[in-house]
Amino acid sequence: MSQPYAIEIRNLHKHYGAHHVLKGIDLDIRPGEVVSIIGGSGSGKSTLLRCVNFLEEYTGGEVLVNGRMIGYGSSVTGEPYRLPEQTIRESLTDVCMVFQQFNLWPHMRVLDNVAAPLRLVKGVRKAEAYERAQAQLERVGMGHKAASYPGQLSGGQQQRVAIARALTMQPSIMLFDEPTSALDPELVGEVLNVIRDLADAGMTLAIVTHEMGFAARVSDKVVFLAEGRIEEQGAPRDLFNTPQSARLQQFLTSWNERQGSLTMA
Amino acid sequence: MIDFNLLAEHREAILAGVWMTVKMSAGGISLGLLLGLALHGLRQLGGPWLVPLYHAYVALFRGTPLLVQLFLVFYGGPYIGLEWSAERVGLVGLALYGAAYFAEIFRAGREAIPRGQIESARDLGLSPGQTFRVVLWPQMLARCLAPLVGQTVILVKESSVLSIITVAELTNVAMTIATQSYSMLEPYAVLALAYWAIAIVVAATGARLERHFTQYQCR
Ligand SMILES: Nc1ncnc2c1ncn2[C@@H]1O[C@H](COP(=O)(O)OP(=O)(O)OP(=O)(O)O)[C@@H](O)[C@H]1O
Ligand SMILES: [Mg+2]
Repeated sequence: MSQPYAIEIRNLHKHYGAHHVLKGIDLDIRPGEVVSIIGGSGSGKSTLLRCVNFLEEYTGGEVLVNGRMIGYGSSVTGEPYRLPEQTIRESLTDVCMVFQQFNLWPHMRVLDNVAAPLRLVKGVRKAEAYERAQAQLERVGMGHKAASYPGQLSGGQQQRVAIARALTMQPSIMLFDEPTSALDPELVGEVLNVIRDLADAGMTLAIVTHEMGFAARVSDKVVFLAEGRIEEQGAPRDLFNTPQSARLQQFLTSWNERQGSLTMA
Repeated sequence: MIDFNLLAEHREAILAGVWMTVKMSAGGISLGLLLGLALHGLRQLGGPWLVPLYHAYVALFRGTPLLVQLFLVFYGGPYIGLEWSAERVGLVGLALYGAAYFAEIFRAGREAIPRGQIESARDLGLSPGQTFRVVLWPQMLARCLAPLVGQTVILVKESSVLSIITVAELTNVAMTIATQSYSMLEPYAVLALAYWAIAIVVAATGARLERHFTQYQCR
C-alpha cells in the first residue's frame, strides 16, 4: 500500500452564507512536502488553511489528514454528518497552526504558554512539560525568554514562541497563515529561518505567505489561488519563472513592482 | 450641635443595622455574581432560545427599579403562594437585579479577548472547558474586576431600598431613629458615614485583587 497523503483536499467548497469563497479546491500534500500558497487578498488562502484544521466548517467536498476525514463522517446512506468536537480534535492532533497574530495567551509566561497545552491535552506532568517546553523554546532561540510575558517580547519573538508552542505538541504537519505579515521588516528573517529549519527537518508544511523569495527557496510546490480556485500550481522554478495564466503573470508583475519601489525608496 | 448621646443610646440598633446591610449585600451580591456568571454561560452556549432569553432577562432587570421589583415580589408574591420573609425577598431581589449587571460585565470582559486566542487553544487541542478555565477566565477576571467592584459598591448602596420592604438594615434603622427622636441630622450623618466606610472597604479589597490579577499587564 502506498503511503497516504499528509493532506488530501477534494473538491473543497466554502460558503459564508451566499458568499462562495472556495469553489472546488483539489490539493494533495505528501508527507515531508513543503507547499506555499500565494494569491491576492481575499482569494481564500486563509479560509483554505482554516478548513484543514476545521476552524472553518467547509460546506462541500472533503479534507483528509493522514487518511482521516476531518470534521464530517458519513452515515450508512452516505449522508455526511458533523462529528463531535472531541473526535475532530483527536483527528487533528497531528496538525498545528501558526497564526498571523501569534495568538499567544498574554496572561501566561512564555514557558506556561508552551507547557500548558502539553499538560492539558496530553496530560504530561508539570516537571516534564516544563522540560519539553524549554527544549522547544531553545530550538527556536527563545530559551532565554521563558520567564517573560508575551507582551514583553517583540513580534518576531512572539511568533517564535508560538511556533515552539505548536512544536511541543509534536505535530507532523504545520500550517502557517502569513506568519510574518504582522512583523516589522527587520524581524521577518528570524521567523523565516525557524520555518526553514522545520522544512529541512522534513516536516510537512503548508505556508500562506507574501514572501515570494522565501516561498521560492523552501517550497517543493507553490499554489496560486485566485477567487477561490487554484489558478496554477507547480514547482517554484516553473511557477515563478514561466507563469502560464494571465492572472499569475499579473500578480507577479505587480509584486515585482512593489518590491522595486521598495528597494528604490 | 451634633447630639452624640442620641447615637450612643441607639448604638445597638445601629450596629445591628450595619450588620444586616453587610449580610444582605454580601449574600445578595455573592448570589448575584454566581447567577450572573451562569447567565453569561447560558448566553455563550448560544442558540435560538438562550440568547434572546438572556437579553430579555437583562432588559427586564436593568430596565425596572429595584424598588419596584422588590414590591412586586414582596406584596405580589403572596397572591401566587410566595410568602417570603422581607429578608429573603431582599436577598433574592438584590441577587436577581445584580446578576443582570454582572452578566453584562462578564460579557464585555469576554468580548474584549481576541478571538484568535480561542482559535489557537482549539487548534492545540484544548477542550472548550479547558479554554474557558485556562485562557478566558483569568483574563476576564482581570478585565472585569474594576467594573465588578464598581457595581458591588452601587449594589451595597442600593440595598438601602430594602428598608422600604421592612428589612431592618441600616437605612431602615436610621429612619426609625429619626422619626422616633425627631432628629434628622445625626441618624442620616451616621448612615452616610457607614455606607461610605463599607464602600471604602469594598474598593480597597477590589484594588488589591486587581493588582494581583493584572500583574501580567505590567511591563
Ligand atoms: N467569517 C467570514 N464571514 C464572511 N466572509 C468571510 C469570512 N472570512 C472570510 N470571508 C471572506 O472570504 C473571502 C476570502 O477570505 P480569506 O481570509 O480566506 O482571504 P485571504 O486570501 O486569506 O486574504 P488575505 O491575503 O487578505 O489574508 C474574502 O472575500 C472574505 O471577505
Ligand atoms: Mg488571510
